[in-house]
Amino acid sequence: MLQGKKAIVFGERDDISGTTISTCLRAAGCEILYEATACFV
Amino acid sequence: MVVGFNQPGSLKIMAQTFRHGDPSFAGPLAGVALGLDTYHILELKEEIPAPVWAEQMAIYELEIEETTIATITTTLREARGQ
Amino acid sequence: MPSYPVIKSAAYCLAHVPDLVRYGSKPRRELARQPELATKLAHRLRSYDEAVRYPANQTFIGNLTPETLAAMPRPWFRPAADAGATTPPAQGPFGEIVDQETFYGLLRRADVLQPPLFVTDDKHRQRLAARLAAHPLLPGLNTDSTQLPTSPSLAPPPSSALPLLLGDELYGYFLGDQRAEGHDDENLAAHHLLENLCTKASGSLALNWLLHRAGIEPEQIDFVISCGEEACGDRYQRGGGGMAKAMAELCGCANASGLDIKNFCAAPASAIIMAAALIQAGVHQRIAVVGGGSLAKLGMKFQAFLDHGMPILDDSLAAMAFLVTTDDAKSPIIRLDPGAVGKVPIAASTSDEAVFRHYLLAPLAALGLKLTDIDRFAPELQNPEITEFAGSGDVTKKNYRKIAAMAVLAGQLGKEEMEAWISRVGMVGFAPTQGHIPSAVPYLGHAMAAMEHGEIKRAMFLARASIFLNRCTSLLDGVSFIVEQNPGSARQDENKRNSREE
Repeated sequence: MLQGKKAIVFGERDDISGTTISTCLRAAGCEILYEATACFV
Repeated sequence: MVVGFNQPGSLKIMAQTFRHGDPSFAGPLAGVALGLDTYHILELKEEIPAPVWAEQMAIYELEIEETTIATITTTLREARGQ
Repeated sequence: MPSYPVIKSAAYCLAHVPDLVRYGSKPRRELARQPELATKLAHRLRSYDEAVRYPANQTFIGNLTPETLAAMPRPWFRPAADAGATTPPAQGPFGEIVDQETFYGLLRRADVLQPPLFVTDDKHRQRLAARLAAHPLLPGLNTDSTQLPTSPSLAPPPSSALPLLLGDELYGYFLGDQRAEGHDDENLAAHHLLENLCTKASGSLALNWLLHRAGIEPEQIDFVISCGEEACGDRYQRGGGGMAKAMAELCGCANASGLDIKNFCAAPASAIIMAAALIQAGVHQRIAVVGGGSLAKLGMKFQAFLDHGMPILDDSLAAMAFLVTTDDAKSPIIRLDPGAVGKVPIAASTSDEAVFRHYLLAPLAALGLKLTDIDRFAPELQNPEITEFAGSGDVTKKNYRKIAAMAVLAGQLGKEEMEAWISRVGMVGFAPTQGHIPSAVPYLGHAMAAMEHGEIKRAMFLARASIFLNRCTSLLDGVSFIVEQNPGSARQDENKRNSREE
């Protein structure tokens, strides 16, 4: 269960972006403490 | 930690870093054990409301090869000591 | 009969500059922290011969097609023992791979300031002049060099000067702005000015090649658009621009004006669309879009190469130039119909699904096309040999998987057909990992050749930009455009076929 949990999110532009992950987690009641998306290329 | 990197090699190092500290003993987390578990978003499908998952993640379930998804899951389960 | 703007020509060049790798952003910072890395790095630099032989580089300049490259066994950087002993040519249909000394000549020629930023002694200046004079396309070093004070030897440089080496030989120094107002302006420090001048020098080489390929005089260019990621300016206008006109001036485009378009990696795609729109509107007749190389990105992955005992593959500045003109009834056309140019609106989520829905599916729907009507897709085309060793996987392949996934979600492809479709419409990456350089447009030259030979009819170019890197937004951008065989040329083919049947 993610309800009420806190998460730190790291995404990558050519894999899965941070905003996508955060959207999913927030819909499950998770609080996002920090989110970043890397661009490694 | 919830991440969206799809390379199992990089994931292993990341998971170790967030739990035990930087395995290369370089960088700000050298010798700093945060004790945090790392999950890949693909492991959390059951926790996410289905319509949101379908809209956001359906493309990745098709893009990423099933064998890769399996390797990602195994790698991070191991890193969490499960 | 509608008329379309066309892509009349394309040029692609590389400058092999192993001794400038140390001035890439990552090496510069790491070498400052760990000076002992310098020797290790030096041992892993490639020779010019190796850079010319490198199949991905041969593909960039058009001597190999992406299809031929895909069939060559990996690793490409270590050719098979039975590979040919002769080095493939450093020139190709699209351009050339110049060596470091030639590039230093280009750099010296691009440096128009007095006193210059690139200081050398007379002996080295003569060598550079000789290298440029020997080049078939390039005019020689400054004709007014007689007005410069002769310098038999190099004066001791300021401590902030960057040594420019050729192997073990000190060739000269690169200085920051020496004016009083330049001294404490960090934007005019040596490494920033070197970065910008490298863009100018490499971009101008590509522009020279474009003029040569197209068989036109520089005076026939109306407008030049630069699409690099450098920042030209000083403390009060850090990103003012002016690179386009600097390059055009160097190439003798006396009748052209120009400007710089900024859109991170997607700038070349954006610039080509803008050029096409200006042509279509009748504002200009012949526009050159030029993207110079990015010194900042050299050696970005050097640590991964050292760890794997590989040569440093990101050792060359890349540059490209495209000629966009009014319809000539034979060159490939750019579709500018309403909705045909892909964009990602601000309100769209930054999920891949949303991005691809907007810049992949929507333009096709606007044209009444299906994904299966596109013969080739050109997304990010980074050389997988670099990205895989750096831990990012095969970026090009990932993009094709995303495109195929979207085709499945849009009901235009079966899940089990994905790989087969990708091998038909996709290609292997071959461009240097240099920001705007690998973003879709390295395939344009190949697409034009394939269309000329009747191999393909339609190609779609997809570019993405991580604009969130500017720290002003979390957005990213996506830009796409579709290029097709000219209907004029298709009619000519049909007429030829019909007259043969008679």
